[in-house]
Amino acid sequence: MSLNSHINVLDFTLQSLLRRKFKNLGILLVFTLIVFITGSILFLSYSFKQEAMLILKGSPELIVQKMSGGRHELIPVKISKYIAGIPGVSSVEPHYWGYYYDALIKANYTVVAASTPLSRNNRMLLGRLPEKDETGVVALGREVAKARFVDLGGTVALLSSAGELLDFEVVGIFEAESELLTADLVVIGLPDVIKLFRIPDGLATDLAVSVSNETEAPVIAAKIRTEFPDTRPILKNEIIRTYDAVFGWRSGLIVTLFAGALVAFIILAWDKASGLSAEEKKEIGILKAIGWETSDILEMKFWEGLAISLSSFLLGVILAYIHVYLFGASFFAPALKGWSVIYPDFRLVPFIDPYQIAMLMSLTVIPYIASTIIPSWKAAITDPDEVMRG
Amino acid sequence: MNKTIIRTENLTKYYNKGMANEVLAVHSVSVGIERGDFAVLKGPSGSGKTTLLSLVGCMTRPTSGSITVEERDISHFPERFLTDIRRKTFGFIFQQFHLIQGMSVLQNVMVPLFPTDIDITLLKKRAADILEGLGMSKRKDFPVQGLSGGEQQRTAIARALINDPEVVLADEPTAHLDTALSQDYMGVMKELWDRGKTVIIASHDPLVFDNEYVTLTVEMRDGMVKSISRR
Repeated sequence: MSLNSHINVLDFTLQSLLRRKFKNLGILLVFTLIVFITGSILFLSYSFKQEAMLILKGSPELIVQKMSGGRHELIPVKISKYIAGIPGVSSVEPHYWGYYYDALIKANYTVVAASTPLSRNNRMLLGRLPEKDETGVVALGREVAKARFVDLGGTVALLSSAGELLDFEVVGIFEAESELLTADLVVIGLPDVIKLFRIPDGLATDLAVSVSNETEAPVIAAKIRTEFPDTRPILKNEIIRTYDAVFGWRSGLIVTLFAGALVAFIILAWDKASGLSAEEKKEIGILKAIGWETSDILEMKFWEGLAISLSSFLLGVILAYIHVYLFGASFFAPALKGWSVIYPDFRLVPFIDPYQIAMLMSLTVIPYIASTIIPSWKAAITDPDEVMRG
Repeated sequence: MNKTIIRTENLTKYYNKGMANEVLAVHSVSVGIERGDFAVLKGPSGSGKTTLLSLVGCMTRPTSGSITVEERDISHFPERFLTDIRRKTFGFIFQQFHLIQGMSVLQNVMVPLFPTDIDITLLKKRAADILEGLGMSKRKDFPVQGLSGGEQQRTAIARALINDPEVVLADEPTAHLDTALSQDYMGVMKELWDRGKTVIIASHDPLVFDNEYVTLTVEMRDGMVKSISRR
């Protein structure tokens, strides 16, 4: 067949689609919705993983925590001397941080002592971050500032563990490179963290261990564990794996929730596409009787399936993209985002995995085309006079 | 060129052979149709004339016997070749018209040649010319479901002529028409015949088979040929 014949068959197909516009529009809508839901979940979970990778980019290779009764406890800073002596360790830095429950807005903040990695990973929207030893000043994550209705120069009061109200002047509002974990972040000077959480002298929340050769990290972790059996050295890779599992699990949960809808779609698609109506069967008979070959009819049905499924697919993917990256995935975010009341205001950097898109396409477009072509092929291979009689 | 365009030899057709609902529709039919014939297959309902028409028009395969079209035995031709013959040699007018609902008159006439190399503009012009010849120009953009019986009939004729076939086949064309429209229809058929087309009509209507220009009458009953008369 020449190009003209393909164009003519395509022309006829598009006319056919218009003739059954209500049926086809119905399929298009449901198909689009399913692709939209699945696409949103894929985009979101993939972007979360990428966000997590961004967070961990600047983090130390090892974090050492002290354990007591299976729970995280404050760690003595003095052991950092021993750790710093292990060959391959380039530096050990105590970290001071904690969770603060703000009864006013019923939200948890992550309060962190100012340090170099923080300034490296965060982008200041306004002002600056407090210096390490500065007191009485605070830099707030954008969402915390929003929740507390404070701006630069305003005051935020936090209740210390001793029941004392500490006032902080807001000197900065920042946004992290990744919004995922830092939207609820509150940064204050080290003396203020110690005061707020009543951290005893000589103790820190955990120790950040930098290793010059990352492949040596597991060996160093093993050495720390041998020397200090009550500690838990956490490898960066382990954190990555945990993020991966958590987001994988969460997106799996949503997929499960929507599995019902997915099954309904499959049934609808199969019914609508495969169950040729008497009118369609008759039409195939007519086309064959007036000189169409079986291959012409299959080509027509292929175009028909492709037109519906591909346009639904593209529409669904575009809508999912807009939903996730422009509207912060407002439909699914509560199930997939953090544990805090303050949710990160998503401005996710669009990360798209071509493999996932190809997968989604092969799971939706190809089965649909097949379910359109197979029954038509059955109708088209019978004698045209039988199709017309039957 | 051979005078005979279609020949059947001991043609037999069973439907649902070997099953409980087996039907012997055509039994040992041998008949020859010449180029330029105005042939009528006549007989009561269930006599096998529509099946014979389907067989000679390559729409169904015989159970046994042979069909020769333009000196080629097509009885065992693969589907692709039968389609090619249907597309090039025959123009069909069906009893129920079998127009495609929702499409315009012009589009319906164009449909047979869509899967060919023809340029769409040329195809449109050819379809419009045929419709004009049949007095259907004003209706060409009208959806077929809104046409009267006579207009649907003319649309079906125009569609049968789009491939400029050598043989025009019609199945009970006057079954749904009143006398005036039937005569009108036969007028169109005669005109085609006058232009050199071979016309084969299956009908039990005397308005069809009693015409003086009918050159061949094949009378059928119970799937068999009862008589063949040539004028």
